[in-house]
Amino acid sequence: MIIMSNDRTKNVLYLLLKNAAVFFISLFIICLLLALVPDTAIPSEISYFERVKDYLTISYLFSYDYSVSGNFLISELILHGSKLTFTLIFLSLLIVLIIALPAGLLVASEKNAMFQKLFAGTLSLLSPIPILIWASLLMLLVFVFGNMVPLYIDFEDGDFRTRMFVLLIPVAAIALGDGILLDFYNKIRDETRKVMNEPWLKAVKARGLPIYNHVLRALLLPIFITLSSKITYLISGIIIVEYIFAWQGLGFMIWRSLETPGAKDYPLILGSVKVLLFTVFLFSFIRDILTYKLNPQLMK
Amino acid sequence: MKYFIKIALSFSIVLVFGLAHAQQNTGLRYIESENVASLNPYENSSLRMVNIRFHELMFEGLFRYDHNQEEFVPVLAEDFSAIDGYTYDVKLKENVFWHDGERLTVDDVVFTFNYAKDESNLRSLSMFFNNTISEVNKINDRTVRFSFFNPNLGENLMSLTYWILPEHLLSEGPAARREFARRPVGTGPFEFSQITIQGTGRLVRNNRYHGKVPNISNVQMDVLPDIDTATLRMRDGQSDLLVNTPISRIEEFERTHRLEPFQSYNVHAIGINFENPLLQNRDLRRVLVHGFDRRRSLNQWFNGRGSVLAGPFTSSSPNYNPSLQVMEYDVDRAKELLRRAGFNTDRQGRALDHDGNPIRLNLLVKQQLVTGMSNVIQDFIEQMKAIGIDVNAQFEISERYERRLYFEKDFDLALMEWVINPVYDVSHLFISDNIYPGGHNVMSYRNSQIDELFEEYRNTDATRRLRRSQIMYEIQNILATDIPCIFLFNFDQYAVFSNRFSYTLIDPFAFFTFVNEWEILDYYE
Amino acid sequence: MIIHLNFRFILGIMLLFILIGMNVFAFFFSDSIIKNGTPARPPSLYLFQKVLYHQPIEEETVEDFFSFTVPEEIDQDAEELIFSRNPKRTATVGREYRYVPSSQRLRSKASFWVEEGPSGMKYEDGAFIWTPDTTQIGKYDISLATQMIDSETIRSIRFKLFSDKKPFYFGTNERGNSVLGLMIAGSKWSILPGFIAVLIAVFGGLFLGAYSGYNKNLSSNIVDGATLVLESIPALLLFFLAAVIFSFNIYIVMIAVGLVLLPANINVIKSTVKHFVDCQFVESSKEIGFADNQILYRDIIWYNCKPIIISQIANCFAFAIMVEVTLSYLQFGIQVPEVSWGNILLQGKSDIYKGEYWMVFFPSLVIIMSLLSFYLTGNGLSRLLDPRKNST
Repeated sequence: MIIMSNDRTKNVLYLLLKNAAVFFISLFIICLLLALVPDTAIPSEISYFERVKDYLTISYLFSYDYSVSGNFLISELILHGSKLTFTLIFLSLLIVLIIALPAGLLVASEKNAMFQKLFAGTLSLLSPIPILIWASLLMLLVFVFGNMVPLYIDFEDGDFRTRMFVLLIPVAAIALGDGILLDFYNKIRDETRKVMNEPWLKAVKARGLPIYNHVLRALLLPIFITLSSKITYLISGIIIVEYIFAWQGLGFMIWRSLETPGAKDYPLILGSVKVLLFTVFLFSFIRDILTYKLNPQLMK
Repeated sequence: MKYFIKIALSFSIVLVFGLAHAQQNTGLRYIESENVASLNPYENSSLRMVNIRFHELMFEGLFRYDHNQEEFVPVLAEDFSAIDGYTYDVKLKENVFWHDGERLTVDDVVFTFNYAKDESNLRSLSMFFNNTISEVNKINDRTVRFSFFNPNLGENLMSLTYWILPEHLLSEGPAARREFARRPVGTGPFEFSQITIQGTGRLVRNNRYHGKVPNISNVQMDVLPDIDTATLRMRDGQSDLLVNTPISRIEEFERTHRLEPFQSYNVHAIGINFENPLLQNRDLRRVLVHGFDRRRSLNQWFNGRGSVLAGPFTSSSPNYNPSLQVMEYDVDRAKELLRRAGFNTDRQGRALDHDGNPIRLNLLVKQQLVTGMSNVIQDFIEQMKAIGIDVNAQFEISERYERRLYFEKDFDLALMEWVINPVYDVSHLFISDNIYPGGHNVMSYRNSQIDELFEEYRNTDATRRLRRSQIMYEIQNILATDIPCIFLFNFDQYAVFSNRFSYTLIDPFAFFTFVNEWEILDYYE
Repeated sequence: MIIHLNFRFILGIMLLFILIGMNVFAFFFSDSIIKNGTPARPPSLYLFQKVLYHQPIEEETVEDFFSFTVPEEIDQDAEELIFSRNPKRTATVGREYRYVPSSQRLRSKASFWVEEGPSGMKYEDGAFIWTPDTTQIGKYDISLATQMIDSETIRSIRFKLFSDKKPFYFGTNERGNSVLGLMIAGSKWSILPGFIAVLIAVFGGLFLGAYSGYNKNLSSNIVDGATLVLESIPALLLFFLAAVIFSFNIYIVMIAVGLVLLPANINVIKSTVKHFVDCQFVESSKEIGFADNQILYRDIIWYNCKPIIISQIANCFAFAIMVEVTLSYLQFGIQVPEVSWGNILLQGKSDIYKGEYWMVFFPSLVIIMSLLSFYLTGNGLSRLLDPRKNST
């Protein structure tokens, strides 16, 4: 077959299949666990295996319907929720990059060693603070000193300024918490240092040419790898992040569906999990492709 | 000084915003803590109060039960006549229009009741209808004939208070039903306008309403599950009504808002499992009651807004026995009863049963509690420990709670909450016929006297009021001394209104029944 | 081994000792830790009250009874006279409570007195003083007033004053339990449940990672696949489901925590082992006749992986603490009346809007301290054992 003759395509296909297999098996495990959740709305004649089969059909085939509430299609709810969830995640990571990139690149200029030490020191002391604690403390400080409380519900009706104000605390808490900023900063700093020690870069510098585009190009892959691992991490904790801020994204919908007695919306839960797992799949697949492109010999 | 200015400034900004909002707003914005489920009232997955309240704004029934006058009032019906005890003819009001312009006809009524009896719809309601109404027939263009199974007037009329749905929109099949669930149409004072994904629902005034056209021009329902954010919005003036205020948070609104009380029929109690031989000892049960200071818990966590109960009836229920005496908190008496029952205390102060083992009781609790009840539970555990009884609280999610309570009977004590509709009776909780897996007598309480009294009550005709009261009084006396469960509290219920509204009469169950008569103060418009 | 103590390690060990001390206290003296006082009493340090406690003080101004017009010139001093300093809100039995209302210059121009207050409170020599005795415990509504000389205007403030037998330095919660006691009692869930997670994640990761790095047969491929799957399952959802299915048993949730932390550990160990497995000494050892296990564990792992394992253990404990706090905050972990840090945060969350910050602020600090203790100790210890690595 023409498509298999190319060694590179074969490897790409292998990576795709590997990640897709991970996606489907994770979904399967979630279905297995969901069927163990006690639910009185399900008549007791339905056995555990029938329940698992039911959830598998819902998740693997796109047989979505109206949600339990009947007002909206599952797809509408999930679309709306994913818009909110991904706004939060990507905005926070953008802010992290905006802070970490210049700070890490300062290594290149080899000045400001004091600033670097101070920055790294403060970060490593602040970084173990988890997102939950950051969120509580930030809400406390904003209420005590600003006497205002940004509520999610203002986000829906508000204009751009209100929305930015409401987004302030969640984005700050996510960007600062759980060592995300620290990891990015460390990675950027290490990679910059590594690149700066390369002989070809020294040659370019000796020529007097600008080095920053070379440095940035070398940084792309490491940043992307860290980005993908942080996205996976944030998606793992999405439920608590959205619960604290009452942010009606996918995680909040999952939590709400799981804790309402009697009206658990399984298609919604499975659909949200599917979207989240798909994001993880996408990013890890792209990361594998890029690593492969850089080091093809690692693929044996 | 600067600090005070800052506070005043930010407060005034918020106030100006709030006032500006209010000036343009002749509407009602109210806050619920849960999303509305289906917009078709007969296709919910559960009969939650959120749905009932929202539907009450849009739909109406043939009759309505006035809890103050304790009588049935006709709404969509004009009159009814009883052919015999089992058959009633109901005459429909003329010139009532649906929100889409069609006229209300007898076909709608017939269709609604057949739809409600269909078991593929809301199961718990359909069971009720199938047990109460045998047939619904159209007599002529204005009259419907209902045939009932029992001659119980109260129950029969109660079945006629449920909402009427439009036949022309629902009889065409599943696609039409889907459309109806997205855009419901009723005959009530407000018309459906929109519902957003967050759960915000918007309704507008029905100008062709057959009764008094409401003063309020539109209604908006916001969903805020967190009571703190709801409180903040009420304080800022961005919302006018908080429907489900936890009783422990009422104080925050006392000075700035109107508190509209409505009769509450909630009864909180700690049920006792009579299958545990220890608890069959009545002295031990008395110890549990005497050793728990219910009044102090009520005062401390709920500001005294409620009453301590001695039986399953609240003071606003009919047939409430006013001479009932609450067993007061008395630690010495509790310890003496413990000793008298033969339970000695060891050196560490723990009470020992007849085998010499320390007494340990499980308290089964549902995980999501009424705000403030977790403090009551902690008080109970502490005070029991002071007497020497070790109580261990076990929290379960509501599914497992129900399974342990109703089916496995795996508990010693269980925190329960009942909402007792005054038209129904409480016998199903205490008669021994209901002791089976899934039955309501989860306490496995057997008392032949109680069984006989409830039987007599059911067989006594409704017109013999004196005798019925006497029976109920007797039942309450027996329950108070026999202690089938530790009756805790009945909380007052308040709806919190902003001061924009001057007249706000509410119905204790459906809430918005009289919304078309509510009045907004002029100078806010 | 060169003793190369660094600052981080010492700080971490100190914090860790504090944490272990709290644990010991919580286990052995569990009944008497939590002291009881007046409910919702603020922390006693004046600094905290001045900066963070913004409970509104009500002011009232009663104008001159006979004039209805606003005076033309506003006396600057009169504006400042309204008790320019915030009063302290807490008092302890036996200690003097002292409140100096404003600066020296203004005090000489006005008279001050107590309108409403406990017996024994009076204005003397420029300050309001009061020494509560043992019968005066509880919450008092205080109203203090001032009147400038030559003016008819009386200004007064009202606030609530708490007096107790003990000075609660961290305040009390709504039940009257001291926050310090609650924090110590809650620490018992910080170390012990972590052991299960460490067992599964670190030791499981060690054996599985070593196995899959050393061998290249079917089982190691299965281990690789399982690692990938475990990596991508959303962790919090897994903990949630574990809590719901097993009736909020924190130890079962810790098993799930261990499973979630397993992939990262496996990957690290595996990459280290893979790095060494192609080395010459492995082949020579095999030739000599050493068993595979011996080569793997004694030579490769023991020499190279110690710092990795130690930092993994520390991370595991810290993660376990965070999971327990998160689940309790969501009401799906430790339930009342058991105390845990997440519980305290949950109860304190709604008090923030009343201005009662101490139920969230101090437990947050303790959580941060305990996490830091594990991270710093792990970091420092791993650096101790392997001083060759560059400091990052």
